[in-house]
Amino acid sequence: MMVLKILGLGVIIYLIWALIHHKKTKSLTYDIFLEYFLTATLVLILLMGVLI
Amino acid sequence: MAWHNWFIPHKDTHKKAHLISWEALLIYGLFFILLQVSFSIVSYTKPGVLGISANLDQKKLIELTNKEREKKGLPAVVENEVLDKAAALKAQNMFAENYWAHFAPSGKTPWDFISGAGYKFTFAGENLAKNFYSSDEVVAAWMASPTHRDNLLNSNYKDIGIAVAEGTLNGQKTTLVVQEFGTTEYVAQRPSVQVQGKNLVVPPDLADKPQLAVSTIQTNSPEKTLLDPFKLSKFAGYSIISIIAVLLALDIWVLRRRGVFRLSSHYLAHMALLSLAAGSLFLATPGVVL
Repeated sequence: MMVLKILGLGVIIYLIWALIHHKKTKSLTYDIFLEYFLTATLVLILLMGVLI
Repeated sequence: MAWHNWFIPHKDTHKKAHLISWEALLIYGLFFILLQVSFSIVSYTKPGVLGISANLDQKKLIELTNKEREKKGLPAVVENEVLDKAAALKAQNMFAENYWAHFAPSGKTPWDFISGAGYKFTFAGENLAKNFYSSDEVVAAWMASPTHRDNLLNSNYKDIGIAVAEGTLNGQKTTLVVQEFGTTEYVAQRPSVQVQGKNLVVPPDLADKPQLAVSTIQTNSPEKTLLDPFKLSKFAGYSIISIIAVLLALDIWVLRRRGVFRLSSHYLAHMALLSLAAGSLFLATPGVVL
C-alpha cells in the first residue's frame, strides 16, 4: 500500500502543478484540464486494480 | 478516417492522435475496470480458474525466520510437529469457512487451533500470509510490518509450526501461509496469544474444550493455474502506459518536424506521472500479511 500512497502524492503534485502552470500561462482550458484529470485517474485506477 | 490519425497528429489540423485524446484515456480506464470486473465474475462463476501459483517451502520459511532471529541475537525456534498441525488446521479452516482473518466467522480463535492440536502453551503467536510467489517474499513482508516483526522476533517463543496450503479462497486459487509460535514454559500469568501486535489473554475455560480433529493438508504439486489476475493486470497496465508514452513522444517529434505549435497540456508532466505509475506497478506485489 506504500506504493499507492507514493503514487497518490505524485498525482496530487501533478494536478496542482498543472493548475498553477496553465493559470500562469493563461492556457487553462476545459479540454486541457480534462486531459490532466483523466491521466491522473487512469494511473490511480491501474495501480488500484493491481493492488486491491 | 485515416489510420495514421490514430497514432500521429492530423496532417492538416495537427489535432493530437486519437489514441492519446481524452476520449481514449477514458476508454483505457473503462477497459481496465472492465478487466477487474471480469476477474470478479470469473472468480464467482468458475472458482479456481484464476489464482496465483506460489513456490513456497515450509522448511525454508522456518530457516528464514530463524535467520532473522539470529540477526537480533535471539535463540532459534524449533519446529514442533503439534504446532505444524495447528497451523495446518488453521489453514484448512480458512479455506473451509472462506475467510482471511485471525478469527473465524464461526467464532474459532487462534488458540482454539493451537490447543486443539494438543499444544499446551503459556504464550503463543500467529502470523498469516497469502498470495506470495516465494518464501523470501513472505518473511520480508512479515519483517516489514511492525506487528508481524514483533511476533517473529519475540524472545518468549521456543517452538514454531508452519503450514503452506493451497486452496480456493473467494473464488481464486490461493496459497496460504500460517505461522504459529509458542512456548510451554512459564512466561505469563495466564496463557496468552500475540495477534497483530495485541496480547490476547486466553479464556480460563480453554482446558475444558474438546480437542479439534487433526489432519494435515495435502501438499501435492498444485494443478497449473490457468490465469494469474495479478500478472494479467500488471501486463494490461504496462501496455496502456507504454502506448500513451510512445504516442506522446511521437506527437512531440511530429509537431517539431512540422514546425507547428499547438496549445496543449504539458507532456513532460504526463511522462513523469506515467514513469511514476510504471515504477509503482513494478514494485506492487499481490502478497498480503495479516
